[in-house]
Amino acid sequence: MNKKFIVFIGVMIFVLAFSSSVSIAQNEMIKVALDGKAQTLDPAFLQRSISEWPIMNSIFSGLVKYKPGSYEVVGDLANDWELSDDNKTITFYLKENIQFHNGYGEVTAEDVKFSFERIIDPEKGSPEAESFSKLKEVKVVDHYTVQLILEEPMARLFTSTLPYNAGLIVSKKAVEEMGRETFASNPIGSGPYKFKSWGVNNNIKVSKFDGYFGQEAFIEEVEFIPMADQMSQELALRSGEVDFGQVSLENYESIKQNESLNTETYPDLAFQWIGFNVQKSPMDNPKLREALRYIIDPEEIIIGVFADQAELAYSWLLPDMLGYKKSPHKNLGDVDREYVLNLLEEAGYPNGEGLNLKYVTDANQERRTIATIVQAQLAEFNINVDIETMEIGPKIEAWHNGEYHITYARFGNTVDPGYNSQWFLTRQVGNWNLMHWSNEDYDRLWDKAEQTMDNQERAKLYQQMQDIVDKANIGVWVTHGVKTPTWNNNLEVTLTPDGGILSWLVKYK
Amino acid sequence: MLIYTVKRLLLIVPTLLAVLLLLFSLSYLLPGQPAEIILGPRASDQMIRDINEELGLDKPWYISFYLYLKQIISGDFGTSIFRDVSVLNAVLSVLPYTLILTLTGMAIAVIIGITIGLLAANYESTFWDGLLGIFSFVFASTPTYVAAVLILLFFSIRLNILPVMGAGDGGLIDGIHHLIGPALALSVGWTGYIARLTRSSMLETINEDYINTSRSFGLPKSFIYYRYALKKAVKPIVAVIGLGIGRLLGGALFVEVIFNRPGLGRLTVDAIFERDLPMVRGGVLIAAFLFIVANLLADLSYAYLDPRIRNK
Repeated sequence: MNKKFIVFIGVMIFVLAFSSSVSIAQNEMIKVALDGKAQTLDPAFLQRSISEWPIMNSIFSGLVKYKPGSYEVVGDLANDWELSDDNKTITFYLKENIQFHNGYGEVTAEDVKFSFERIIDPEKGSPEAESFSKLKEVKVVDHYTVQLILEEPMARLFTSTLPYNAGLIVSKKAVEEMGRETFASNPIGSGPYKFKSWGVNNNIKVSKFDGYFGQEAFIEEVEFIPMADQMSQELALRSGEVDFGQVSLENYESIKQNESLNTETYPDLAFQWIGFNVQKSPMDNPKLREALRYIIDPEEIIIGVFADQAELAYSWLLPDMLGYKKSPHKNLGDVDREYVLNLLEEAGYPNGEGLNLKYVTDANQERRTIATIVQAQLAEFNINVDIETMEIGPKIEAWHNGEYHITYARFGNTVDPGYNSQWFLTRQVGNWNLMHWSNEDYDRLWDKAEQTMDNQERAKLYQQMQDIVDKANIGVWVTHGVKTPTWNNNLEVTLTPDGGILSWLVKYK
Repeated sequence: MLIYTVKRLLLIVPTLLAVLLLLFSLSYLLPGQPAEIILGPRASDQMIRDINEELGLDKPWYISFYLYLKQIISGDFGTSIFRDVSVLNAVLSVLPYTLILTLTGMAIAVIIGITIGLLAANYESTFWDGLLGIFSFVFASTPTYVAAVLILLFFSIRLNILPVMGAGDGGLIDGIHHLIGPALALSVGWTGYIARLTRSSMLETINEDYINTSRSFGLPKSFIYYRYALKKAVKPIVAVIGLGIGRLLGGALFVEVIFNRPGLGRLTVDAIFERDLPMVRGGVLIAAFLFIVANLLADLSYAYLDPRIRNK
């Protein structure tokens, strides 16, 4: 009996060891870890579009797209386009003979009209409606020619709407045949990969589309695996079970030493900042806010929380974004301590004493550490900070109601400077303007920039807006964040400027 | 026994009702608009209204509760707010993974735990007893997620004999291969607990009069131990297995997230983070049901083993 058992165990170990070596030797497939699970694959109803984007851009094409590795906009389904003199009509000329997956026919102007009009139809409640806010109608001129008719010129259209998720073209026939609900789990696009399966683990597989009109994919099949736990992602990368993923900043250096993996840091497409609520007394005093800008040193946050791997931010716009202007930080080293003490005294708090501030932040470890660093920095000037950590629901309510003096946030995720600048508008006070700050000049410049199609002119407007914000001392820019794309050494990859994977350009060395 | 069984079965209904009520009040007490939490700044007023309507948050809680109960009784658990996936189908498709994981974890804990416990009782107050005691103490106090990470680091990264993630792509061998790590991680805490319980229960039993009497009759030690003593000593262990299954269901949550396995725990956690309330309700309801059934089975088996309870 005992001997049999030992033999059984021996056989099992042998079988297991053998089967694990078999599963690694697959060459035609790569596995990509994603930070979150996909909720739907219908571009018009994507809720957040961050985790899904690597899948969406494999399955779908748009009229235009970002050139791989940059934010330059180039034609995708469209060969060419022209703007009318008033910038309110844009005519797109589609490439001929482009096919949808699974025999759903040719991509035509009708599909473009259908794809965009379902987004702007208020009845359908698309979360992307905002991306097309000025689109009045889509006109089919002929089979391959389509016009977007705008109420007003819309500068954002080409920077972030059309090349991103909202601009993806779905097959009209497929949506009508399947119905919106079924389509969400069985998407039909015209991209380099076609949808294959949605597994019980929310793993999504796509396989190479042989009829793709552009650069054909190198790898037969890609599996996207949601792995919310960072450490699991790292272990899966180390063991070779996942070919592409992200690693934590604390282990970044050790993974860099790992010979079978490649890892690099990329700036995240976002901005993180410490915001001052200018409506909440005593933060309504600009002198006090200026003093706080001197005292708070974001560089310590970069070192303490981002393992010195993230870049310091100098604006809410990224350095390679249109209209970026660097607003230098106010450093204690640049003035003497007396200067800051004077500011505090003028604000009514000699030596900082008696000043109590409420700091609202998320309950996760990273944000808590940031809050503690700020608390310690302000304590040097006898300013007391009460940190209140909140789950997302109460935090959003606190944001809307302005129940804090200081808060920390991360906003972003599009390339357009206008989108990222809207959170400081007067009309966002009580919504997502976390500083509850309002400035007429800023609002006016923003409106003007939204309709300015000339990039140079538009850039100037954003630079002026950054100056206004800098003078108002409404917060401290911390960082754009950092991504750590990591991949198996036997692969050659092309990444987006924020470190995302372009699956169809991945190939084996 | 029959009356006892029926009584226990009837108790399921009020328990499930209480769970449902609690779940319901939670979704009303949760601060913030679900639509805003899901969509952030992109949530328009229309979308906030639509989603609240879909979740029944636009009506008073008792009306929504009544409607939900009616729906549940007719077997409809609702659909996810993101995709056209029925909650029941989603839960049922991952349930086997959680059941297999939990039962395997429990089986490992019982087999290893009882073995360690018996060995320790057999070598009472010797070096081996002490050593096994330390082992079971360490096992019992290791949280599941720590055990999971250690197993990953040792078996999957250092030795590279177990996979890091998933439940396998089909095939029995592949499935078992993927099950070993998670099941071991899940079992660790209960292995220690059962070992300690077995040891103390066994020691208590072998000092009883009837065992001493058997000894005085000159029956062999192993016969007394395994035929007489173990039969009685095993009762408290059976009683904790029911509880244990419930606990392991909770532990499965960590294991499923760390090993990236499909399962009920992971489905529910994902749903909570996404504020997919229909999915949360469905997941928790099924988990509560499993917990109750496991406890019921434990109680019944205990009653079966102990005539004093069954005849009460």
